[in-house]
Amino acid sequence: MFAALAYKEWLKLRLVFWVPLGAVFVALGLALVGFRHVNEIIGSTMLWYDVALLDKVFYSDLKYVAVFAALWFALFQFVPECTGKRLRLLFHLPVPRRSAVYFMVGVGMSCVVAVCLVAAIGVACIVGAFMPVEAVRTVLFTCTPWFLAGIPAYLGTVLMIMEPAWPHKFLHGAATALFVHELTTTSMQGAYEYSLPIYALACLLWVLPIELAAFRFKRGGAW
Amino acid sequence: MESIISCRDLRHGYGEKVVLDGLNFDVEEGGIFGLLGKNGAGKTTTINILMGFLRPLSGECRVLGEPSHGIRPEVRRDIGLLHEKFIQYDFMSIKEIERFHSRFYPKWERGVFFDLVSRLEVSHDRRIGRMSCGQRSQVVLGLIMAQNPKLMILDDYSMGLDVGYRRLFLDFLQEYVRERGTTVLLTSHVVQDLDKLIDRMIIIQQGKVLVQGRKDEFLASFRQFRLPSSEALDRLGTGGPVVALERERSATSVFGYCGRAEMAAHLSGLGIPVEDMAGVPMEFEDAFIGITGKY
Amino acid sequence: MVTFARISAISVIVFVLAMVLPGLFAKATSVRIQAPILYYSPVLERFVMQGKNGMVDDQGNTLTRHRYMRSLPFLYRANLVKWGQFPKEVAGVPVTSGEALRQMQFLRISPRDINVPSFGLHMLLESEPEGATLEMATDMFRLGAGIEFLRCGDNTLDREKSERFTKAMLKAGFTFPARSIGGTPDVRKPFDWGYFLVDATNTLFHLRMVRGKPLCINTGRRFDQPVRSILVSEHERKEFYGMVITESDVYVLSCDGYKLIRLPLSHYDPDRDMIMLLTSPLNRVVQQRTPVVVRGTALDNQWQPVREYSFGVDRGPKEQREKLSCLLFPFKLETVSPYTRFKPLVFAGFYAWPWWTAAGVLVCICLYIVLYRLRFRSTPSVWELGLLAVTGLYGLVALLAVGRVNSSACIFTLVVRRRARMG
Repeated sequence: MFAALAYKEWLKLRLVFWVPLGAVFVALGLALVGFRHVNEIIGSTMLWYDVALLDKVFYSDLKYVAVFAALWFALFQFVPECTGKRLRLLFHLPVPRRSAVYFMVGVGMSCVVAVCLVAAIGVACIVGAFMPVEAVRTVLFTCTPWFLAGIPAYLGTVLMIMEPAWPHKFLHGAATALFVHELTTTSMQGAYEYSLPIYALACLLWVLPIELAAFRFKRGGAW
Repeated sequence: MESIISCRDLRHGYGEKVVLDGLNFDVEEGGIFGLLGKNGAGKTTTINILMGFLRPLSGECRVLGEPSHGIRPEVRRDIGLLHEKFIQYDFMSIKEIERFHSRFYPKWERGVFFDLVSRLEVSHDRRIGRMSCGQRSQVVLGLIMAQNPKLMILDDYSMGLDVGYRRLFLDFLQEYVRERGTTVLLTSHVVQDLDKLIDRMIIIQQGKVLVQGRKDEFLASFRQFRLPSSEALDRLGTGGPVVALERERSATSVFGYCGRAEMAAHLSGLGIPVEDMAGVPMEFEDAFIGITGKY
Repeated sequence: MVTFARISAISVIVFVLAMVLPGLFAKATSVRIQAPILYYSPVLERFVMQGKNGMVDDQGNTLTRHRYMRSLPFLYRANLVKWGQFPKEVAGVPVTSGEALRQMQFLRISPRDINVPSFGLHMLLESEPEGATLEMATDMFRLGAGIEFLRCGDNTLDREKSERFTKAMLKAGFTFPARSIGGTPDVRKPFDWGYFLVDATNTLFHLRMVRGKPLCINTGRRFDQPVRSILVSEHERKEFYGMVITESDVYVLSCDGYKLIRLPLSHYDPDRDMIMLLTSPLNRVVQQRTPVVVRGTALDNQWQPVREYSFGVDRGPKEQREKLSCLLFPFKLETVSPYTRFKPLVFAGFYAWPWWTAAGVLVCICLYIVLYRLRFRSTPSVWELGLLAVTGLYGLVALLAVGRVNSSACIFTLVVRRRARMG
């Protein structure tokens, strides 16, 4: 049965999966161009100096790729699933409601993680080509909160789409946007060094409310 | 006979508005059961409760022996739901939607689905979202039939269908139900179609049962009499054998579950001249309007 | 499960509101508190400052603008020279404006200079360059089990140089790994003092590159506390190398035999206090600025205190705002801080005015009970009231927004009705 649910997600995402991946490659391309340009025009020493000592970020285009991927996947997965009360179709399938919903969420999250992984490997390779492992480590550390923002962005978007009541959609949307903003607000390299685990744990708060939205839809009536 | 659906004292409302006011009914195994009522009578609310998408404020509704809001996945295999407006996954093609659904139902009959869908003369690669409402209705009916359920719940199957597709839909449904003995509960806003279709019915109004039982018995016992207007007739209200009244400019129709003699005696007793009282033959639609009223 | 989901949904809203609302409130009601900077006047032999009451000395005497500037001849050297009023001698010591300019040195260390992410790569400049100015190195170094120089050009390890410098450091007695490092890899500075490093034994070392060769000096200075930061400042005066900041002290690192001069500070907290050091031909002034007090100590040329003065930061203008904060918010989650360049996420309670906090919470509880009774004609559960007691306004908004699980209605339906299609 989960194979059938996986088939459904495949049908929804097979064509659109490549768009966030394309966005990642564009962002990585811009980062590569930035590194190469500085390396070529003002020299490798200045490139190192800029990145390591002047805290210049040549890869800031990666900041919103995870959030974009999260929004993209959530929209393409859940809008066809929820518009016109279509969620009833899912809830009538002979599969436990919770398993069905979280299976879909799991597929979407895996896609977001896959995109982030490509972005992380890509930026590590680009930075690693010009600079030593310290730079790679710091750059990855800097990108991690941006990638982490994909989790609440995805779950919050799913929540907004699935939630039957508009005031609730708005509140969850606003809460998600504000938290995502906190994760993408600073470009200072390594700024999240100590707080990253707490932010990561906070992201998990968004997992369970989806069950509440699903339950509300299933139960019907006012919220 | 075993009850497939059993609703006891269902009550529901939205804010101050009461929609269901102690609704009781049973649907027995086999045959087609019509849940009828005018707009706002509580049909959709009842169907939503039956489908498990709404929890009543009080009362209980059991489907295949399970509370309707918590039917186990294994039991859901035996229930075919046709959702209002024939909603389905628009992003899937005919082939894909069959492949998707077939994995969930052990008694899946691929042939039934493709037999029905092939008559549409559309490519099996056509997306559901790009089909007309009529074509979609056939696909959705095909899916429910291929599922081979014990119970079908069809919510307003006629919405958006022209007369041709409606007839097509009903022909397939009737044939299928006759062959397999499936129980069907349906609602429709096109009452004239139901005359030949349903065996039993419940008519609800303002959240309460108006009529419950076999359709043919209802049609046989429910009568319409027409009388010319008079002052005494203007004072007549429902009560006794008079179940409903329909006043026109020059004549008034009186409805009741009785013969001409009984009705004439009742009206005469109230001082209403009955010399020109005439029985009016009724189709099912006339009887439905007679008992529920035009407004 | 649904109950957990509801708690989680409430937590999301409480969490985000606690992150956002106090900050927004603080911005909306911001009040500027400007504690004046203290200067020591060698002319008046007392502190002077320019505050909201104009220019005053530490005894409350008001000074005219000209008198204030004349009392600080080294700070306002340019003005006094222009007016022809630069003194020939101050406190009996002959001075010139050129000398005054040379002897002025300013160092400042704030919590944001200490709590700052480290990249782990450093650039060691050539201390005695061939040309007149300092030049960029072509490599950078990292510290681990030794010192490793990496060529920027091809991103490869310069083994020979790394070994040479590691050997020199080991020979000087350096124990890897290093615990702290400080230096200023800026070619615009007048000369280069290289880096100061604290080794695994908490001993201070001085590392330079002189004509391509390592010069590592064991200063023999050992700290009994972890070193938080080392600030190096290459200045023509060449009196001190910079400052070393430990958990409770700030030391000036003298150029005279690497002597450590402990600055006269009171209960120094590197995560809260800002330290300023201003030198002039006659004095050094140390200023410790905490959130509640500004403390100045004037020292003579031998770093002996000659005068102290402190005043409390007037938080009066903020009092109303702080009370309102306490009323509205029982706590906050800080995601920005004036004390660190790291991104924080820390819990902070509003406990300055506990009665105001209690009143705020009580109002929220009462409001919820009233709304709940109006909507559901019953009393909320104990755990909901408990949640409100802890989370106040955040919990109130979250409970109103998330609604109940076992009912088909929520309090918000008082004002918002779902467009439900009725059959």
